[in-house]
Amino acid sequence: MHQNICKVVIKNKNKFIPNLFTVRQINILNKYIKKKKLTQTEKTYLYSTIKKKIDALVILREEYYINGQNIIKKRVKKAKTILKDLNRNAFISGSFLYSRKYNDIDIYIISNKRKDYFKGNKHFMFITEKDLAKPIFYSALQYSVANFNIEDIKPLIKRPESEDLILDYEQAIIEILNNDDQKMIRSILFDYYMYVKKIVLDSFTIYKKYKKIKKMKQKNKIDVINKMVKSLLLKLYSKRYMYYELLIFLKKLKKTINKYKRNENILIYIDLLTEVKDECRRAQT
Amino acid sequence: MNVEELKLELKKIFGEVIFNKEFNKYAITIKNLDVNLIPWCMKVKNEEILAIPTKRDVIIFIKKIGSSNRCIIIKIVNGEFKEIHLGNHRYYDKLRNKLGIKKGSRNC
Repeated sequence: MHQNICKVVIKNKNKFIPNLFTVRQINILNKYIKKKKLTQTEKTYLYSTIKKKIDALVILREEYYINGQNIIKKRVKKAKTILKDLNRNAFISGSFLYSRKYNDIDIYIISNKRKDYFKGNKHFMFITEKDLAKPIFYSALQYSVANFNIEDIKPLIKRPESEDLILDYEQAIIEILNNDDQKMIRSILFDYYMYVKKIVLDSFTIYKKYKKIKKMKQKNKIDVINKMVKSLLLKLYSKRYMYYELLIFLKKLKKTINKYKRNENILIYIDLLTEVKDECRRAQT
Repeated sequence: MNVEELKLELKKIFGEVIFNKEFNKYAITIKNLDVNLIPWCMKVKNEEILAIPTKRDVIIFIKKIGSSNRCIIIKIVNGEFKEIHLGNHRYYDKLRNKLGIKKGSRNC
């Protein structure tokens, strides 16, 4: 059920009682919004009668929030139509809003449970209200057409584990050397801006920056990734911690190098991580 | 291509491999999996893809699919391809732990 409409009804209950809602209906709605336990009778009443009235009120509400610049005008119109049909808190983001050619339409719906599925070229992603503060969804929301106000949402940024960051780096280098789709570049870019520059990039800005790096020659791409990862490792963790972590990690890496027929990636990791380790050592003395 | 056809195609590439329990669940939800995954698997088989270094006696290949799903292929050193895993980031985290590419197992 549309949470905002429910809240508006409760807030202005005097205007809705008795013509549109009864006192009992408002009380049940209040319990539902406050996530209090409902009896079986109240649940039946809520879904058989109250929900239908709320859904009808949602149709009257046409309020959209356009977040981000240079969104294709025609797509805004289409996005609004999709949101209107959904009849619940949702937003549309992704390449559909900025790219002439797009594969699918990313539709995020606020729900109590997470799930996702495709229906034709529509990708429905059900996320919780709490998820909106997660950087990945927050970034999507910053470049979106939404039917709710996003101003009060603040990103919840948590420091990643160092080995997660290093593994992302390893994959990014592998993808560059393999000339694969290079999705991990996006991930590194996102982390770099979020943790080093303190900006959560919106999905369009990250796409533009990613495209710029993807066009570079292989060596330049590796240099850019190395530079970002070095900054991340030095910024996010204490020099002492990083020095000992990398000391052990590099020893292991050097031991395993002969296991692989192709090991050009490992040589790149060793070079960069040794550089970071040495900088951590110098900073300590 | 449905899930069974996808599995058959993967078995053609790698021989008898084991798929994780949740493979079907994710194979259904990820769009264009056959287009995204099969060419990459062919490259893995032809040794054109670099592996993630690990201290265990296995060789691991990882591909990010979509925003949070991953495909992981495990090969025994000097041997056959053994397992193909498809899962979300939570499954991926658990598997990484098991494979020795996560904290506590990687740096020991």
